[in-house]
Amino acid sequence: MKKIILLLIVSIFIFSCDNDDISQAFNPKLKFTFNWDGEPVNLSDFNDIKYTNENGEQLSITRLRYLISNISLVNSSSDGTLVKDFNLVDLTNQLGLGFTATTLLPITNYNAIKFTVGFNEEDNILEYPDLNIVNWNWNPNLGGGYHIMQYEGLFINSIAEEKPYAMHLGTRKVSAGVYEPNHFEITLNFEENTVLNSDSEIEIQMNIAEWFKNPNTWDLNVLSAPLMPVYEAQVMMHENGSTVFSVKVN
Amino acid sequence: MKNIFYLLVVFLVLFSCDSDDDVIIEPFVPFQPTAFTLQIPQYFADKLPAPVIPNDNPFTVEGIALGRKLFYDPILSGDSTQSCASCHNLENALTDNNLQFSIGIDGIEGSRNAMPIFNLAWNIEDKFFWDGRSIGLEGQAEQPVIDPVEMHNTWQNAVVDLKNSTEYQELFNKAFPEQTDIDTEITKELTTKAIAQFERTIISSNSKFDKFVNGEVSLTANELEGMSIFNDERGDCFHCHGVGNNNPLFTDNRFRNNGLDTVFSDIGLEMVTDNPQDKGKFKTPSLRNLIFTAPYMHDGRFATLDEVINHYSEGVVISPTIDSQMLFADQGGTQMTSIEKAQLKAFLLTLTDNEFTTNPAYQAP
Repeated sequence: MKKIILLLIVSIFIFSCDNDDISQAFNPKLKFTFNWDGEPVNLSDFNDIKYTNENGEQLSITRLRYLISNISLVNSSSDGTLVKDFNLVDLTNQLGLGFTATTLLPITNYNAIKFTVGFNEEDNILEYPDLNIVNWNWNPNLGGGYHIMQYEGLFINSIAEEKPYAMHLGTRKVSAGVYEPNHFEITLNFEENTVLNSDSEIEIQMNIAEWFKNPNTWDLNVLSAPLMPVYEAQVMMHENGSTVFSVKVN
Repeated sequence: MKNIFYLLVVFLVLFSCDSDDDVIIEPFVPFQPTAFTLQIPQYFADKLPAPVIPNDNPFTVEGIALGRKLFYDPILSGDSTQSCASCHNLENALTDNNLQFSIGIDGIEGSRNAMPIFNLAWNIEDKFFWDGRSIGLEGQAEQPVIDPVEMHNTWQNAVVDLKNSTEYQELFNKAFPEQTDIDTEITKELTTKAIAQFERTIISSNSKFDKFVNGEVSLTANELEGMSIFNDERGDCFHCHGVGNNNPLFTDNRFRNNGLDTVFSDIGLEMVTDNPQDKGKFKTPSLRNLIFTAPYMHDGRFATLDEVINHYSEGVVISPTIDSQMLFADQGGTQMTSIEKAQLKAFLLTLTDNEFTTNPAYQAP
């Protein structure tokens, strides 16, 4: 009888341990979506001149992909737990539009998600075979490393012609051999008392229209393509990028 | 008494079994193909992800040898006159002898230029042909055999011909052995698997540019300037063909309308996807070995490399699906000077790999 009681106690202990481990941890799920001032933008919306930017130019979207890195979740006990090293979000080829992280995190309140748009200087000099093979590299003569964003399309210019635009963001060339990094940090706060668990989906939203708005009203007649070597354009894109992202937890 | 009788019967049975055990029956040991490890050039290993090798078709020495034999053997064609190699000549970087269009067994000309075969193991999207209609090299290898303007055969006939060959039966037995003591059933699937294995081994990585990247040789001033033109807006090649130092493939294997036409007699990728937004899009080819692969473009319309460069410089025309990375399409192209064109050409020719086109491993067995 004594043995049976002991066995029961041990069993209860083992089962309670198992349950605790499972119930207290989760693998964060992320999803990446696009909108134009709130209207969803999907691949089926591409190649159609149906958007109007802040400056009044009508435009289409033909390619859109961007890279974020050091994706981390912030809570009261951690300033950022890494969820994934980097993710290339490619709306054009429908790749990287979501993932479930392999990192196991505690189920608790989270305050924010933060990430670097592009790679920081330290990471931008590393080798990424998965990015090399999809031509994500930035021109070595402009500082090398990797693109931050490739966003392209057609717009109607001031004399009613269709012209290409290409918002390619990457390292800024100041002068021959002199470069400035162009990545930027984003922190997106969750609503108060947001508990993340295995049912949660963190949706990172990009409002494409914001690339043309704040703080710089973008005139595609002045800056359309190519923009990679244009220092001023790189600075303006960098500045406008600060307001394009938002977050929603589903 | 009855019980004693039963006991005796049991003993007899047992003893008779024992005497049977004296006859030694050798268990069947299936042939084990030799595993093959692809030798990946260091530059490729450093810069690219692992090659795409299907789990259900791993490399074996015997599989590759069979694929190589099949590649060079006309047995797969309807009248046994053409092999894969008839239109994919190693001396031409496995393209068709500078022909615009290949001519099939019935003397009928195709409508697209034969694509080169090298570095295909890194086609991560795994879509083949100019319009991406086949998934995997195994899927690709099915097509020419039954194409009425190419080998014009049926797989049923091709398989019968292979089965009638004792040599092939033996090679299939070794490449794809059964677990019991029977011959391997020769099928279309195993035939294309073998060809795909061979094709995946074909690597071109010993051009002057590769040696430059490895620090073995220097490029001339013109070649270096050509590389700069390739990588900046003067040539604007790199968005589609990659920054060479970082993408040794010189392609991303994706599909683009590069401004050749305003009206399309060949709609390319749209034929496969049925999506009008894919009209006139064709696979972006590698720029390696251009000296061997003329003529150029999906329809072989440009006889020379100069014509190709002129197209991108001032011959681009706009259509609704033109790729937005053709940044200068509205002005006809990048408007290179004649010196820039010559320098770009000089750089492109550094991608010539003479060791590849004479590599004995890729020649007829």
